[in-house]
Amino acid sequence: MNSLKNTLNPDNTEETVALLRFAVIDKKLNSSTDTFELCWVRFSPERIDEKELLKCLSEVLVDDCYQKSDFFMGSMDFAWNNQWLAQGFKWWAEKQFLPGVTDNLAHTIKEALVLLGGEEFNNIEVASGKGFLFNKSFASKDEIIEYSQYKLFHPLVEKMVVHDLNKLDSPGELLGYPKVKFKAETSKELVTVDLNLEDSKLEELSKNRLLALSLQEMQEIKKYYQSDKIKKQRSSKNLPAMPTDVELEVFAQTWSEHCKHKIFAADIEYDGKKISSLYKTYIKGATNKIRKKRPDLLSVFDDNSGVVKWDEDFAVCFKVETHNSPSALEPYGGALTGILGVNRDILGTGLSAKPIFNTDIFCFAYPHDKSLPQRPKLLPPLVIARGVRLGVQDGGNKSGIPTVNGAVYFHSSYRAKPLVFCGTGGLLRIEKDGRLQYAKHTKAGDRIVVVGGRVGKDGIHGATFSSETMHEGSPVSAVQIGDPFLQKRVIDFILAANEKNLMTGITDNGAGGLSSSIGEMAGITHGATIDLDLVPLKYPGLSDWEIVVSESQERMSVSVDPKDLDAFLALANDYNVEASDIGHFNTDGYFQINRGGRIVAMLELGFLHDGVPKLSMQAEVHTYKASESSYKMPESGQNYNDALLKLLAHPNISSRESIIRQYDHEVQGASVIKPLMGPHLKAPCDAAVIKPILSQKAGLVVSNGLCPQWSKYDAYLMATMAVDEAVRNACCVGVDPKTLSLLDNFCWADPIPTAKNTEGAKRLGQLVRSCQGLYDACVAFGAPLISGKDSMKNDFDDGVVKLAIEPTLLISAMGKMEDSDKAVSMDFKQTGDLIYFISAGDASVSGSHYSEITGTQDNKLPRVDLKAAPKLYAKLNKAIESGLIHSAHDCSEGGTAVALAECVIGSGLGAKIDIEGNEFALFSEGPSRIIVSVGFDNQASFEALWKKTPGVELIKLGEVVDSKRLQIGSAIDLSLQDMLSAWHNGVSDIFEVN
Amino acid sequence: MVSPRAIVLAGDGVNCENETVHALRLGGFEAESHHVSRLLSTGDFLTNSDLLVLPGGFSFGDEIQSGKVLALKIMSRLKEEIEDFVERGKLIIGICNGFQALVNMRLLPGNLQRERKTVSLVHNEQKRFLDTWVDLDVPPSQEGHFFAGLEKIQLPVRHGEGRIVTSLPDEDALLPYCPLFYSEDVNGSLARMAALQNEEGTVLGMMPHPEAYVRWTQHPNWNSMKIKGEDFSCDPPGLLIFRNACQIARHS
Repeated sequence: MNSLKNTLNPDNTEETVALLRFAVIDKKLNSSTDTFELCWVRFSPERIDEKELLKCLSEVLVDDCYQKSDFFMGSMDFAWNNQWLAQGFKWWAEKQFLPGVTDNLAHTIKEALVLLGGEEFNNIEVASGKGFLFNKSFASKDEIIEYSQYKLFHPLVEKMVVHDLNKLDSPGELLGYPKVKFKAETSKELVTVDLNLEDSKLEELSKNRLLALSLQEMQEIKKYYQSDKIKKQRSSKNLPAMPTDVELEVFAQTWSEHCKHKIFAADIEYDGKKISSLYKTYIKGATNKIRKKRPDLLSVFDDNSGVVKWDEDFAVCFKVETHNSPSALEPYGGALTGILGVNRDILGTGLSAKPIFNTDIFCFAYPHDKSLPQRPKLLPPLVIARGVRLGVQDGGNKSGIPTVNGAVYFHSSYRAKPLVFCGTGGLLRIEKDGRLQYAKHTKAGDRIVVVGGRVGKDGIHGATFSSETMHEGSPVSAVQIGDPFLQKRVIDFILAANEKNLMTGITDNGAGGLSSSIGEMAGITHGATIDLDLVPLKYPGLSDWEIVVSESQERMSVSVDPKDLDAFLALANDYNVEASDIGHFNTDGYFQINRGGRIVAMLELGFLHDGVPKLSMQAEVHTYKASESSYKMPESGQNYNDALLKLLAHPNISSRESIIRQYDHEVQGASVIKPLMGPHLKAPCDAAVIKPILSQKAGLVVSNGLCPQWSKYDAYLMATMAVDEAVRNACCVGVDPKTLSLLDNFCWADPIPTAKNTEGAKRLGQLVRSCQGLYDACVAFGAPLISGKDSMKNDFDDGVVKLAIEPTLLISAMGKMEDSDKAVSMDFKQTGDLIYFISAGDASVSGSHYSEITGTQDNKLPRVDLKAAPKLYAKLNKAIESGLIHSAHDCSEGGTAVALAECVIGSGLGAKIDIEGNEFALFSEGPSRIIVSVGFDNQASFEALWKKTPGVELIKLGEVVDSKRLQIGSAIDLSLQDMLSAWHNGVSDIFEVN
Repeated sequence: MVSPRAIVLAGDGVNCENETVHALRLGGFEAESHHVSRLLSTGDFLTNSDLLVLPGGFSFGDEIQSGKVLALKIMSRLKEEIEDFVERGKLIIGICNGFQALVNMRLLPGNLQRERKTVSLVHNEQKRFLDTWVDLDVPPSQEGHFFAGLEKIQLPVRHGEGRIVTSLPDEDALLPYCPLFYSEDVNGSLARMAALQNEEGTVLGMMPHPEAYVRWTQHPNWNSMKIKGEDFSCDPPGLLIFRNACQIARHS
């Protein structure tokens, strides 16, 4: 059943091993289609009949209808070369994954071979790759490699070799089987690390071992091991006085910023006041303040995602994660593991939830901006954008989870690091057979079972390179490629196991691997013991600590009552999923790790989880002095056609169709408001609506808000704008604002002030202000935060160039509408409908996209009116509920003119706006701005609705007409076709790649 | 009246089983999904069924070729049972990935592939995955078949490998087996073919997703259709296809 079991024994030198190269070629291959499939099969001729192998390979890999094959036991022959020479090629190249990189195609080939040829084929090894042909326009091999890098292969995970077709290369010059080899045997001795060192040496130790622990933290661990109590305790258990390498690695992982959120837990002095934990004060603080009004909050901040009651029987959960650093190194793998990782957060919520939607937000540098810094360690922005998009496509589509909503935001500061936000929502029962499904029920005595992928060197120390120098046979540890198919099997299995009540608890293996998942679950019973000999490995040769902290993907850790263990393992077998019993939970107070019959780590849970010293930092005060407006409106009567067309083509504004069409956004059959709607499928909707339960009317609304353009002025404003945008988007499709729950995702450049990080105090001040803005906005909207994440090291420094991202806060919103049949899309619906503009708060040209293309500035910034905005949204909801409006669209990037243009483009109709459009009205950007269209019959009741709403302004703009033009006074008169062409092609060259 | 029984394949990367079961139930079937392992271990599941559905998804991650390994897995264990099922006039529907599997199982188109592999579903001409709604034409004389009563319909497609190609010298030989055409070219498919069936019209494979249009609010323009007063009390086209299947199953 498992494609990785029983691989050829590398130590068995008695056995001769043969290598077969197998090529699958399109029969109609010509100079326009110049690639073919390649695979390498390593087998023992004594055990496997070569003819039988070839027969099976042909059946599995070749479709006789349009493909032919070729195979070679040694190197390629003259016939091979000549066929390509005859077609005018001069070179051929081959690529394959580096040793240890996840090779999904190879796994499937092997599984198919076993299906066809029987269990004996478990004893072969398969690697997949690709071949390419090049003509004489390339002068040398180096030129081909240079051309192909990042286009045809990614050097961090793949290797490519070029061959001259006029020469026969020997087997040594061809790519062989990418076998994982280790230079030295891993130590059989227990490795301890001496911490009796002076401070500088402690710091050096942390740096050299890639522990990322601060001096203060290293000192704390040293002090702990030096204490008499611990010394005595350890000697009584025959443990060395100093920590083992495993223990030190577990500390490093558990105390990492990633897991402990030390910045958000820190004491911060800001403007003469001490803030004890930003998280407790502002994030949890906001939720606690609102909580009384929100009995539907079932589990917030505790589990892998936030859980909210849906109806009497069901709950929904939501989590958004970032995967920035991995995506900077290898965008495809980084984004793929990002989306699969957050899917596991949902699967690991409570006793498991079913993933029902994905939402993804990317922040990239402008791919075509040649002025951005080029550094050897910075991938080209275009490569990043394309790789990330493809990774999320494979992750979402192959998992059967619809990508219902998303955003792409370009800003030059993301040259430092791309931001890849991956979000997933889930559905779970509230209670089943007497057990709450959104809680863990792990108890002492339960078995610890790991489910899914095997453990390799991948993902050790996250995105930093392993301390082992890279050599030819090193498994790639810095970057990973996910296996969505394996994970889909895991999801199917886990949900089935929970149907049968076979689990008492579950969590995912993400950052920190077993160390994190078991370490955390051990907290429930207050103790756990695992045996590393029982952990299934991808290949031999992993040291103890590597097994413990490896972040190999597609794994879940499950607690199983011993009486259910056999049934659980049998079900796993039925679902073709590997599950291994590796230990048990207890009440001993320790996280104990054994290997080879002895203890390799014994960690006191109390100190492990609570011993991390608190950071104490001083922030610089961050304020923006609101001043009188310095903006001078140009004389009236000007024409703004060109400005609007330019804005429509702006990468932040133009159509996302080139991305959306490549994402399956309809699987699971639940969609009501899709990303693109309207008669011509062009209308860009503000939020998604899906029906979590197909047979019911209720709709789940998902939206996002992200406004980093205001961070540099005022991070408080940025945060309130982001919340307002997420709420506004959700309200435009018809969410009941009283049901909204929010997630926060902070992405910052390092805000810890140190002698080296001179910007730290300033960034910390911005962080404080954004948290205050977030708090105020959440409280004002009555929308609690239910989960969140922070990624605080989004800067780049290679000793030559220093780059940092703009402080970025993503707000993701989820809410409910009782009747999804009342949802509205953003496109104008019919001629004669009246067009209105509803707004609250102040807009400004500063930070607007118009200002980006023209340089127009203002000292006065936008302002969110936190009193009026909630009233606006409540009334909008009332209007949608009573069926008064036909469309609603938020005005965000580009301002009101862009929003109107989008409503026209989406409808295929036209609009005539009677009000004279001035520059400010057309292009300024601000909060709480919405364009709605209303049926002529409903004018009176619609207008009456907005009476007595202080702070909210309602303006009748004009009406929907059949002209296929947008006319705004004398300022704008553009045809639908011209607007569509500009808008449609803004980013398609970035994302539509063959 | 007893409802016909439908079994929907699940597992190994299939991912549309839930909405397909939902659609079949709306269409009049008694339907449930079965994990592929369960189907393969107890081959007699087909004995009491009237319809087998291979739904959409990414079986085996779409590696090698869409539907290929799933086809291999089913045929390596259940070839006889499946052939017997078809012989008895029972129905099989493959949707998207399921269609790709049926072509690789050589159950489609009809007997054209009896001797050797002559038809395939390969990468879209634009070489990209595509999720969009398309206009479709049903050729005349489909009475008593899956598309009876339908003429021009819209359904979503969601695939990267939906282009029908053939190695048959006479490409027109495929036309009689096609019950559904794209109104405009979508993926470069031969003669704009969107589906294939067997001679008897009991085995059907189609790239568009009928289970994704069993409720009016699944249509991307439903907002406008509602405002313009379209009749939402009748069944959407996707559901009609399942209702037709239910009619055929009752009479077979």
